[in-house]
Amino acid sequence: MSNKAKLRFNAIDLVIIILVVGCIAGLALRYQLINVIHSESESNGANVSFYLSNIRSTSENYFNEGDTFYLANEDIELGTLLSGFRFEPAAQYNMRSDGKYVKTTAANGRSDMFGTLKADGRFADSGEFLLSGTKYIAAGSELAVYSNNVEVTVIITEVAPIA
Amino acid sequence: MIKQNNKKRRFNVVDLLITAIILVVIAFLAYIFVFNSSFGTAGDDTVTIQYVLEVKDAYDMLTESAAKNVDKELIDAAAKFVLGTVKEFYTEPAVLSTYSHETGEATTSDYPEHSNFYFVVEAEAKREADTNRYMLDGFELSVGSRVYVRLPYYTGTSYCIEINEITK
Repeated sequence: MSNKAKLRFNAIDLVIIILVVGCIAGLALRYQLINVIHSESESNGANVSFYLSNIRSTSENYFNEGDTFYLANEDIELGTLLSGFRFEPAAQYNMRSDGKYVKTTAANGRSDMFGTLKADGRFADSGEFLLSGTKYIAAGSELAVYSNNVEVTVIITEVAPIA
Repeated sequence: MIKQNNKKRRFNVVDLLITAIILVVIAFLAYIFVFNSSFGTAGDDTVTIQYVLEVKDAYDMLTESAAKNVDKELIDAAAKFVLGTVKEFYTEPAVLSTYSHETGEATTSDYPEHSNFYFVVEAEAKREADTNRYMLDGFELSVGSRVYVRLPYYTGTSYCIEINEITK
């Protein structure tokens, strides 16, 4: 008799099951597990071009071909730096005495960088690129990134499929 | 035996807690769904609108990527609402308000290597009665609304500068 009572399915069990299912659903949504699973079969990657403005010219030495960069806030790999990146004197927009702005370049040892990273991810049917199958990035994304040598904030200028 | 049964049926603290949780969840869901669907219920019209989003002072180097989004679906990057389809994209030179030391007067200047981006977006929307505010998939849009643009090939912060109804 007492055994029967112990085995009875009651309201608390139902609530617990609902909560557990809710937690699992929430986690799946949070980490977009469906996309992760989906991405495993369709990962093809992209070349992600970026612009980095106004760094110290001495910092140029901390960028090397093959460096891996990660998103600072999410620890997702952004990609590896391809050869062909370049530095230019930093662009500055200064006002003349007539009030018109002109582009000049920095004379104080600051640099702008243009580079491309080979990123792992997939293109969704909509055309969006999902980094590692989960994180949406596109031209205009401003991303805090880091490598083993340096931490910077870049602006993505283009995301192109790897030919 | 009778005593034991009475004991089992007693409404206790756990029951109260469960009831409270269920009521809170129901109230929350009702708030989310009923509030959104009843947006300006009296006199609402579902209309097709075209609205213009402006991204000010964008880098020229982003123009090519932004221009590739015509006929693409626009999503609100913050809450993932679907906000319509981009029908047109154009740019205008970015202009800065500035000051001439030569004349001592306020003036304007082009902002070198920067442009303003404009996305013309078409969407089905519900208009709130007697207002110029519209509901798009749960997103409340009016002139001046800030929209975090998520498009396949471009993302950025924009403001709605114009809304026109094109059909009723």
